[in-house]
Amino acid sequence: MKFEKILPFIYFIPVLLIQMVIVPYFELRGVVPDLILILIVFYTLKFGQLYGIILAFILGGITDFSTGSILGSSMFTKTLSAFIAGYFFNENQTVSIIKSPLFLGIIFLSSLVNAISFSLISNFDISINIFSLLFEEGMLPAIYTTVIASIVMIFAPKRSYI
Amino acid sequence: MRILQNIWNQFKEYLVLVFLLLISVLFISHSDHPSVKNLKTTTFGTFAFITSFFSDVIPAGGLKSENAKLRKQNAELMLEVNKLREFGIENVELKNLLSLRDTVSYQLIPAKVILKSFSTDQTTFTLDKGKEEGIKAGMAVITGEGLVGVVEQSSENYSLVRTLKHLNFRVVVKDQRSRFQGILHWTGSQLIISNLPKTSEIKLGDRIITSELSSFIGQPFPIGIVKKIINPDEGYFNNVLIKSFVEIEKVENVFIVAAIPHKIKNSVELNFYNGGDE
Repeated sequence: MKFEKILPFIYFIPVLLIQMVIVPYFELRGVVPDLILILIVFYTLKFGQLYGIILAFILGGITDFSTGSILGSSMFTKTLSAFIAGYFFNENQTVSIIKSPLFLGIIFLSSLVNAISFSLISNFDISINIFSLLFEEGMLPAIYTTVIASIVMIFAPKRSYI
Repeated sequence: MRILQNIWNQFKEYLVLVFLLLISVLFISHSDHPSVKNLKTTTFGTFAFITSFFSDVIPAGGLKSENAKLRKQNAELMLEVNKLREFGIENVELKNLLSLRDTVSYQLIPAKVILKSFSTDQTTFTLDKGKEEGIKAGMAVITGEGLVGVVEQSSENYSLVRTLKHLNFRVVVKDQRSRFQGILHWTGSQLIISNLPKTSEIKLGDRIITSELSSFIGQPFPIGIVKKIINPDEGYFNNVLIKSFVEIEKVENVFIVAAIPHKIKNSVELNFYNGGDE
């Protein structure tokens, strides 16, 4: 296996720490961005759908263990999100996709699926309003994650270290 | 082999996705989180509706043999009832003499098993009766042979039963002959009463019934017989293997004992520490 493919597991540790320790300080009305998802989508677009869903499953599992959320919830949602992001994988255009606005669109879509499915699992209520599910539980976290992803994209070094 | 290879090459992403999602769902289903319980209730209610439709349309196999068995059991029960009636009369007379009052009253609600789980260590049933018939979490579920389990959750029209063969099932039981009490549980492969003092006078073939300390309204439901006594050389305790009267895998029709269980007793038995369907 190429060393490159192990890198996301190494990057995951500081990202998880930031997600758990720093990100809660940037909470807006209970909404926080999902940095782990950005990492997963990024590497899914770089190495493909199959790699992405396996990566998402493992990182989701570690997230569940580390954060104390329902075991299996992040595994499920992150795997599903990576699968969706994987549809946009193009072997010949990896770099251009990651550096284009399309990347943000993919982040938004994956994050939307991630947030809605996570909300259904961890906060399921039969009486929940479909609008509330889509907007409050889905759109807001997805928008926030996309905004953070765009900041990362703007300030990321031009030369690829990742 | 080549076909499999082609299928794998063509659909590997989908196959891996389904496999990983199934593992995730397996982990989620083992959670006792309230929201997962809500999700389970809604899901099993939906599936139960579909399954009940099919089970009503497709006639159950072996109905004839089951009828014959039931007729035989009916005759045997009739004889048993006669005998018990005599004992009952005698009991009332004796209680009157002692000025004791009989406080136990319960009602049996018949229900049909419309769905069974596949897990061998967490066997659950879905019944075609729910809150509308007055079924609540914690009610005992029995057949003519004995205890099957306890209602875990109930939706409007369906109920989920945690059977004896469920890792999280606990019930206080006693040996009908020696009166020794212990907690019965399922290990994943066998029913066992663990940590019984070595001084307990339990013998092979003894009948095990639910205890008055149990949350099942103190009614002595038959559980099974002592199959094996494991007597380790070290320590002060024995483990007792129980052979259940009810063959859980074959159960099709059950009765729910409509009595409200005792919350404190329930919490002691660790069956419904999250408040059941509340």
